[in-house]
Amino acid sequence: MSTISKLLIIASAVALTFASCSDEDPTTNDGTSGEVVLKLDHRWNGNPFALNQSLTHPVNAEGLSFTTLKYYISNVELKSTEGDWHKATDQYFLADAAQGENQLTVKDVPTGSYTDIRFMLGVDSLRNVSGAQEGALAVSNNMFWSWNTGYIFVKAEGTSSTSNSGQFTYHLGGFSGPNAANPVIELSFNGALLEVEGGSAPQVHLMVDPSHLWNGGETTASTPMVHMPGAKAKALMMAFKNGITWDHNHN
Amino acid sequence: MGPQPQLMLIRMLRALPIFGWVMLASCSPDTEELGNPYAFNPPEHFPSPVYGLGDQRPSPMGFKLGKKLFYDRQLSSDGTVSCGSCHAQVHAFADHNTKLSMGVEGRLGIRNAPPVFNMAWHPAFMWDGGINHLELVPVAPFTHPLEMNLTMAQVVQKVNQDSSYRSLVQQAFGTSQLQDHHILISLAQFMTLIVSAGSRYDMHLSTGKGLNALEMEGLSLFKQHCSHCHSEPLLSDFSYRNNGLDSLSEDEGRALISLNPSDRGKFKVPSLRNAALTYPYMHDGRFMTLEQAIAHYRSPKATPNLDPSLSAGIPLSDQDIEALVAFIKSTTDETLISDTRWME
Repeated sequence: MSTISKLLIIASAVALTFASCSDEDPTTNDGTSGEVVLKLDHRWNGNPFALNQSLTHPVNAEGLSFTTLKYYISNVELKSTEGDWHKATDQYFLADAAQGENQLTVKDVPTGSYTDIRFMLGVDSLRNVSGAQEGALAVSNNMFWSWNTGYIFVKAEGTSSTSNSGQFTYHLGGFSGPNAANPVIELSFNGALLEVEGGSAPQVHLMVDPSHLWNGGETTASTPMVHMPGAKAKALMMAFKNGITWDHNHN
Repeated sequence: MGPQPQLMLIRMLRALPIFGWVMLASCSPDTEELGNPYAFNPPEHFPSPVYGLGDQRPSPMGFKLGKKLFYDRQLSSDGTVSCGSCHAQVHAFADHNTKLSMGVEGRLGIRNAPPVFNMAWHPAFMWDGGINHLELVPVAPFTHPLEMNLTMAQVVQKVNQDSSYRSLVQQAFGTSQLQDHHILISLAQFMTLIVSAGSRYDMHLSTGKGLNALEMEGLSLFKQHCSHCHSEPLLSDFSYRNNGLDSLSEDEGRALISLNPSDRGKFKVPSLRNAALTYPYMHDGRFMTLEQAIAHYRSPKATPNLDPSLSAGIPLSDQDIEALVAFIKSTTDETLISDTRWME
């Protein structure tokens, strides 16, 4: 085979390879899409929340303090005034209360007016079965079970005045079967509109209240530790889900 | 919208010295045609692999990086343990014939280290099948306190601080700063290429020749009594079964993952390929010899989760066991243990 035909084979292979493997350049401000910022404000029963702060649970009166609160938000979708849902694909966010208020930037949202938002609390099953991931889903973020593959959707750790160990450790997740614990949270803007235009980044302001972890009947005394998927993890996730609410938008 | 196609091709060709091999190897089957010794060629007498084709196809540089990572003792908390410490080529990438493996600071693990070959055909990993993807297998030994005892962030940091990685990393991924997914993909590429299909048993499967009379008798007994679970040609069906080792298994096994009490004491059916090299046997390494392991099946212990196929035991004479051992030894793959591509 001549050198030229070898080169041609390589060149065509490269071209084919490129065509089959490469992602399109991310769409930016070409006028048809913009960004939306999700602001996550952590609250405890209506009051400002911070790590290492002494807290009393509003329902069961347990004395608590958080050292860690991290959770995944993914598959953000916005509902247009026409009633269609627009999904921001392949965007995964790891929120961390250690950063105070979190601002998650959702990219590639089509321009338009939106009335509702929904998103997954956790990570979809596909990303739990597809091997090594990067960015927010990198295993080095320590939100991953090495021995029982899957993402930890919510990690909540801290001290407790009532648990035997003096601590609570919740590693919550589970992506399959009856113990799937990655609920979709759907929130209406209550008549307000979110206006997405190229070049601007309107904000959706959400409140996240971790006291809801224990509003479903669990206490740190009865359940000091959850380290794997299962009924307990699911129950705590479903309770926590109700602590995430919409507050207001900024256009 | 992406850039124009001509522009893309020009960019690609400009980047070819760095990226060409990677892109080719990761996505295109043309690597075999270019005589690449690091191409993944599934044996014709094997079923389709679950990993290693399409976008996951190994690249030469990814393989070489994976090999260096596999044998790097620095990737443990006290610098004494590499993947290769407990997965030794001479033992078909199982441990050095110890029941349990020694991690950092002499700490003893909890289950017998399984061999690493034909990994691209496994639908799940570890004795309990808790890991669902080849790329995620290394996370467990890297981070287990009884094994290598690091966080993945520490693994990444150690590799990025080691200048001897720099050129390989650049060639494999076109970056100076490795991230954890690069490390995991490279190790998966290394493991993918460790294919064991060069035994006399394989010759028999391909040509009908290669086994002597005793081994043929063993194969016949094997088909009759064993291949129900140790399915040909990989010699495992990768299911989870309780083989009656204990009336109450101390190790929960598959139940640890499934949370189903009926899975207690069930473990992944191991491949019996190269089993003569991988002793001792079972999840806890309780049997030192093939003869002992096979004789166990004459009278498995009664236990609620016992595999139904074993409820009456398997009637095997001493001569039967001799023939079965001879057959299993015919699956020993001399090329696996001598191939310099994956030698330390």
